[in-house]
Amino acid sequence: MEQIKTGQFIQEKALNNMSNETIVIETQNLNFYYGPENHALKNINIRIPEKKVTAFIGPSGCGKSTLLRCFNRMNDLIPGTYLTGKVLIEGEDIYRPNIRLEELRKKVGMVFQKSNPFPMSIWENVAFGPKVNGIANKNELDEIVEIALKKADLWREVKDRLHHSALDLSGGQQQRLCIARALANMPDIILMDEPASALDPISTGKIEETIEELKNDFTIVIVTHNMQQAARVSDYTAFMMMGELIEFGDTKTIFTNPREKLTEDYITGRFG
Amino acid sequence: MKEKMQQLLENIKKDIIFLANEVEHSLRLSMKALERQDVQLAEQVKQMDNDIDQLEVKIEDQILTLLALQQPVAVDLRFIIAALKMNNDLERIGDHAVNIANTAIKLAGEPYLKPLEDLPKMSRLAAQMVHDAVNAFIHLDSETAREICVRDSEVDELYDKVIAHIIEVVKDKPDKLEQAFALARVARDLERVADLATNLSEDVVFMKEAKIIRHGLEKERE
Repeated sequence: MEQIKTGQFIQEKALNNMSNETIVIETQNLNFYYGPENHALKNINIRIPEKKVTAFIGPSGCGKSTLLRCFNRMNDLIPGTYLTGKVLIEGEDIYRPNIRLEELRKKVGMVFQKSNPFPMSIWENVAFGPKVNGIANKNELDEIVEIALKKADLWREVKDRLHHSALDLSGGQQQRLCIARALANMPDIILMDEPASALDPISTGKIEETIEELKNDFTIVIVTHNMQQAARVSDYTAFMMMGELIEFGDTKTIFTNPREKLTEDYITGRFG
Repeated sequence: MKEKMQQLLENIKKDIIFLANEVEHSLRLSMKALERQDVQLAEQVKQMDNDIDQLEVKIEDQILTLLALQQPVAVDLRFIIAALKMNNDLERIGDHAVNIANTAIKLAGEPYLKPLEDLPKMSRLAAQMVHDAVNAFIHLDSETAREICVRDSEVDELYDKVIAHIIEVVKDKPDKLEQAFALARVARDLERVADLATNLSEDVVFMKEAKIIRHGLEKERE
C-alpha cells in the first residue's frame, strides 16, 4: 500500500513539472517479475514527455533497463517473465492481446550498449528495416539511408564508402550506425540502453551531440550509469532503486536540489 | 573516488573557517588600532592581509580543482558554489580591515574631534555578524543565517547616524574636514562589512535550502 502512495506522489510531482508537455509514454501501476521470486519493477507510475530526453539512473539491478525494455516489449523474449499494470505508448496499451509487435517496435526503436551492426554493408544495415517493411524502390531507400545517416551525424564520415562493410567502422561509428538503423524505421521513440558506455570520450561526445539533435524529432529515453552524461543530455531524470521509482523530475532540479534523500545520497556518492 | 571528494570538500570547509577567523580577527584589530590610535597594531593588520590574500587564492585553487576533477552535484555542488563566493567576500572584508588600519595610521598623530562612540558600536555589530555567519556556515544553520540578514539594517541605521553626526561636526570645524572625511570612510567600510556578512549568510541559506534569497527574490516569489 505504501508503494502505491509513493508512486502516486511521484506522478503528481512530475505532472506539476510537466504541465506543458505532451506525454507519449505512460506507465500505470506497472509491476514486472522475472519469475515469482524476482519482483523487478514495483508499482511504477511515470509519464515521459514527447521530444525530450529522459534519463533513467540508479545502481545496478535497480530496474532501469527492465523498465526501458517494457516500452517495446523486449522483455517478452525472456522466459518466465510477466507484468501487471499498464504501459501506454501514445495512449495505446501495448500489452493488450492483439497488438502487432512489429508495428510497436517500428514505432519504438532501440539502441543497445554494445553496437551490433549486421555483417553487411553500411547501406544494407540502414536499409534493412525499411526493406523488411516493404520498401523496394532503390531511390527511395537511398534517400532514407542518407537522411538516417545525416540525423545520426555519420553521413559525412561514410558517404563515400556506403557499400563497405559496417564492421570496418570504429566503435563510435558503429554505434551511430545503429542509431541510423533505428531512425530508418521512422520511429517516434528511441530507447537507448547505455549507448556510450563502451566508447571513448570523443565518440561519447559525438553520441551526446547526436542525442541533442535527435530530440527535435524524437522522444528519447536513455539508461545510463554515467550520471554526468545524464546531467548533460537529459531534460528529465528518473532515479530508481530496488525496482522502485524514487524520484522523477527535471534534470536541473535532480542534480542541484533533489527532493529525496536517497537520490541525493546516490548522486553525491554517499550511497551504502 | 567519492570518499576523496568528501575529504577535499572537508579540507575546503576547514580552510574557509580558518580564513573567516583570520578575517574577523583582522577586522577587530583594525578597529582597536583606530580607537587606540595604535600604529603598530594597524601595521599588524596590514601584515595579516598578505596571509589572508594567499589563503584566498589557495582556497580558490582547491575549488577549481575540485570542480574540474570531481564534478560535484546536489548538496556538494551548492556547498562548493557557496564556498567560492564566501571565499571572495571574506577576502574583501579583510580589505576593508586594511582600509580601516590605513586610516588609523593616518589619524594616529592628531586627537579626535570627539571620542569615537558610534563607530566602535558599528564595528562590534558588523564583526558579530561575520562571526555568526561563519558559525551558521559551520553548523549549516539557515535559520540563524536569515536572522543575520535582518541585522544589516541596524548597521545601516548607525551608518546614517554617524554620517549625519560627522556633517554636523564639520559645519562647526571646517578645518577638520580631512579627519571627518577619513572617519566617514571608516563608517563606509564597516557598512560594507555588514553587507558582506549578509552575503555570507545568504550563501549559507543557499547551501542548506537551495534558495536564492538575495535582492528580496524569496519575498517576490511568495
